[in-house]
Amino acid sequence: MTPAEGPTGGDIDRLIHEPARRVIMTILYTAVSADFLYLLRETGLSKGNLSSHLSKLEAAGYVEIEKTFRGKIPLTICRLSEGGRTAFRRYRGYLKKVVASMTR
Amino acid sequence: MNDLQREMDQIEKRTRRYWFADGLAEIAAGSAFLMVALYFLLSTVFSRGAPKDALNIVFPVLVIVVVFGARRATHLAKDRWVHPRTGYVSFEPRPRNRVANAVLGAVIAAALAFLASRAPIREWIPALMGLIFAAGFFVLGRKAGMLRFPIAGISCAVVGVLLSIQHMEEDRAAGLLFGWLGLVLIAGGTIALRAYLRHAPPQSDGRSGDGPQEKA
Repeated sequence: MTPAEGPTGGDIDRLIHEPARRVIMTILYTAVSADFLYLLRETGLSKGNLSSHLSKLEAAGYVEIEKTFRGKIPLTICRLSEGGRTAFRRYRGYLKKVVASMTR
Repeated sequence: MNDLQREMDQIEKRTRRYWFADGLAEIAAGSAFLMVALYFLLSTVFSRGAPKDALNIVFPVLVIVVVFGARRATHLAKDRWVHPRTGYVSFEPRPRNRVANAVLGAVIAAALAFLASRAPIREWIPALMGLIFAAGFFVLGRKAGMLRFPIAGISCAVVGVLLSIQHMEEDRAAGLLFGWLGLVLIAGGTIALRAYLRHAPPQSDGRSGDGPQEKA
């Protein structure tokens, strides 16, 4: 599955629409990158759950994950790919359209 | 759907706020502003001759060193005290933001230089600078959803207007305004840092290294 295709259901991207993944995508869209510890704290997920969601986003090409070290401390850095950024922009645009049509 | 948008807006604000949550950036910026204040106040002491010339030569170098030094010190302090506690987030501005910020800074500097050359308006420059700082703080406070920035902004605007009303010598007024700004930032940053360290104990298990396992 390529990022351009996306796992969409109709107009909405179901992969991003899942609540935990939506939080992860919103954080990574706002910042340039964030590490596993920050995402863990902000999402309130367990380590296993967060890993699973990140794996799905990585498999879709939305998120890039880099395992590195800061001194002796291992660090897992996550960032949105260009495809992920585009998909998230499209997702937000869709939400805005829906809200606008509901308020008309 | 509206709730979803609100939720995402809140997450965005919280993420932006994280850079300021520990107060380190404010302490660094406040220190830089104090250095600028020191230059203006020294200018009032050495108003002409060789010391003034030396000051004018040293000042631009000093500003560059202090700005880059403060930035580097902030990153080092965050690496040491913040990232092991609550995680690492990178906020490097994207290239187009850098260009927009540089253009905005140049426009403001040009406007101030123009006003400085016009005698009747000159004495209102501290008020104008205070208002510019206040506008900047309001934008920052709105983006990050933090109250302490608008408060700092209001105090800068008030101090700027008060200095203008006093018809003070330009360098002294600029020194006092930058000094006030530096002190406000350092005070706000120190309070934030204390609160942050109290509420975020160090992590003991190095969880930052966890994450999805490598595929075979």
